[in-house]
Amino acid sequence: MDVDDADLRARFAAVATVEPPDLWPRIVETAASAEPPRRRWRTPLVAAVAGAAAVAVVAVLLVRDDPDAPDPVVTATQPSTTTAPEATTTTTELPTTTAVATTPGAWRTLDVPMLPREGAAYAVGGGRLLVWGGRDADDVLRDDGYLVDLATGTTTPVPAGPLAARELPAVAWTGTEFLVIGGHPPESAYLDGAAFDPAAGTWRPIADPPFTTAAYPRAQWTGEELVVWLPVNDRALGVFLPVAGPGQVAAYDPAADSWRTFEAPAFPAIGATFVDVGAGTYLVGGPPMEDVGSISSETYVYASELQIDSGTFGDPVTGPDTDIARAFAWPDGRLGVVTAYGTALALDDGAWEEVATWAQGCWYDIAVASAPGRTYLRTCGDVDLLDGDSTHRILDAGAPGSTINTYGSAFLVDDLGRLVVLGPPDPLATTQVLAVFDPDAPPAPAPTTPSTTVATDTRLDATLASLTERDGCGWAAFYALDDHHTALLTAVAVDEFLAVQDDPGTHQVVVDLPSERVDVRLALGVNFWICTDIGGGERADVTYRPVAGTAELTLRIAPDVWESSGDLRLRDVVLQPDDGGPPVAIADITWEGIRLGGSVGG
Amino acid sequence: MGAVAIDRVEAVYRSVHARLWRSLLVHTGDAELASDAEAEAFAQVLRRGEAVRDVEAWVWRAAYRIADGLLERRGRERALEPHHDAAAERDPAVVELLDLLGGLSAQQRACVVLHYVAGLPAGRIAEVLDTSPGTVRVQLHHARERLRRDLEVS
Repeated sequence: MDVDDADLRARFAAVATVEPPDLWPRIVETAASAEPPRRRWRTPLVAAVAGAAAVAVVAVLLVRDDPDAPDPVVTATQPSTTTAPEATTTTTELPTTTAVATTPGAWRTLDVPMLPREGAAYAVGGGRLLVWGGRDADDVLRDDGYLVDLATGTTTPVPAGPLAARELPAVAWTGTEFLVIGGHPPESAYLDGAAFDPAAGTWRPIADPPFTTAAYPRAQWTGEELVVWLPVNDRALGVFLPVAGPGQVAAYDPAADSWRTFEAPAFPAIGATFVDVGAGTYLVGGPPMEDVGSISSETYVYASELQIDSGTFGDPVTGPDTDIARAFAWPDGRLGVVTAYGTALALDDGAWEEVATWAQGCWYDIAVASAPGRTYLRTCGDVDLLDGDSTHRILDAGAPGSTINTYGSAFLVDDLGRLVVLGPPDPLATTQVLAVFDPDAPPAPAPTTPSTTVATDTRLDATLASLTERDGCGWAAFYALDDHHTALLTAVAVDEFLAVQDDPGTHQVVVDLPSERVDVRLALGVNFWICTDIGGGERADVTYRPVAGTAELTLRIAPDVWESSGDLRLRDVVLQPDDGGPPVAIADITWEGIRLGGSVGG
Repeated sequence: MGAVAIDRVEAVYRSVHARLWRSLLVHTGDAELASDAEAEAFAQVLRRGEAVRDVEAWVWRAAYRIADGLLERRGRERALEPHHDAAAERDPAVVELLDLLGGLSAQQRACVVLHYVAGLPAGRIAEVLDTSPGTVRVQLHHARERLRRDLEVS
């Protein structure tokens, strides 16, 4: 069946037969009453609501108080693996000069043989990731799971234990066991728990928690106890919905197999996180449940009676878009929060101090006056791994060692300070992508294989290019040089790209280079990328020389540039002839079209 | 909210309601959710009165954000199952369309809906989805390719 655009239009025209209801009376009534929108909940709503709770920050959409202003969307991403194209000729030798300071740590990507699940319990400890419970691809609740070895990516089945199948329990690593508390069968909740010993592969039941209701529990291991907090829940709508009001807090002592209870703070939020700062444990909230799906809300930060200082610390920041995405402990022991839009703060003597703010972009270092020598990083790169996160907001953050790391998707920090990011579940896949960032790992070794020539005989080989979206910057062509080097040519004409993609084989990139030898200077935007401000300014050498009657353009890029930045961006390409003639800017290069290979795709 | 604001917003409502609601219906696969999102978007703009300069642009953008938020809360994949919705079930062609769109990513689906159902140009779609026109064009391209492949297979 040959489908053209007219066919597609005809199919979409079918919706024109559906008559919309008149909403105007409802709109006026709703606006006058200033009530939140009427919501309907139906099966399987538990998973949907709890899914919001599971990612710690609840607000999915915000309509800002400044209604016409663009919403700031902070996209947190991480480096993706670059696939090396098949080499045609190999000419590039990589110089060894150091261009920028090397960022410590390294990412590893693992393809884990694990069927996807939603609503499972995830926790890391002892070098392993526990995935237990949740719903499988057939929407069936599970009572088993996987243990994933973070070093190898291999999995070991976790057998069923004393706990019935469920989703969204609280789970934490004690150093020897994973403690699993509560969770949900359909439209209900469990008031039990169990401990799993990964070394022995066995479960043991534990004393039932002293809660009178259980829904969306959050848990934190303090070193001696497992502190569990439950928001107040209302079943008036047929499912558990956290609502404002005092929740319940209790702590479990594994040695005594007993619980003790605390007076819980009036905590009008879900998605709270526990933060252990050494001297105490904070309970830090998110936006009220009622505001989810409505408008931005105030942010609440409380310290429970478990803390070194009890009471309410007040909003760390005010105004719109101030939802707390994640609370964590700074390396110096202060309580820290990062907002959903990228402001990091620390609680210092009862007052909030803004220590870092970042805009959209890739990894970059932020010099923090209050903590000289400390490096705060954001990640940069393609969003392939995190593609399932359509909101691209910061949902989580952590501060292992001397860095703060934020991501547009949920992640875990294990007891070795490693970050573990699980890719979005793909119902059709038999594996899941797992990325591990080890801040103590040595940088990736310099490539030993020379990179690929991307341009010969004045023709830039576009079969080696791929089209990739850059956050907020439209699309750009990448030239994968080898496993470790990627050249990114900005300002790609997307329409031209797509036009030739529709008509493969008829176009080639022809770069109108002069035939005499020239030196090509490339300004590499290292460490961050913002549409209107590509910075960094590190240089790479590019030579252009005649070869056997033709010509050859060679990129010479210091390996440490790549290693420190995650990728390279070419900008302001200037061809400077040896004879002192006028330089030729990239904008002056003639592009006659682009022929794309199989690596093209978003 | 003053009479002027109400009149201004109602004029926009009368102008865009059918297109906006139908596009939300296809985007979410749920007529009631589409109504919820559109009604809340217009209600919010009424509450803001004259503070909103471009009511139509604001409503399109807000409605999609609200719809996405409601979808995410409820579970996007399940919400996209076409058989859940009575309004859609009445027309097999609409059911088939919703089923077809289930193979697209969220952004691709939003782009094609805003393009084919709402009739918005790439620039306006980019404003609604808070992205760039280039991204919209690329997503439309990939979405068309995917839809064609799926239709050819079927």
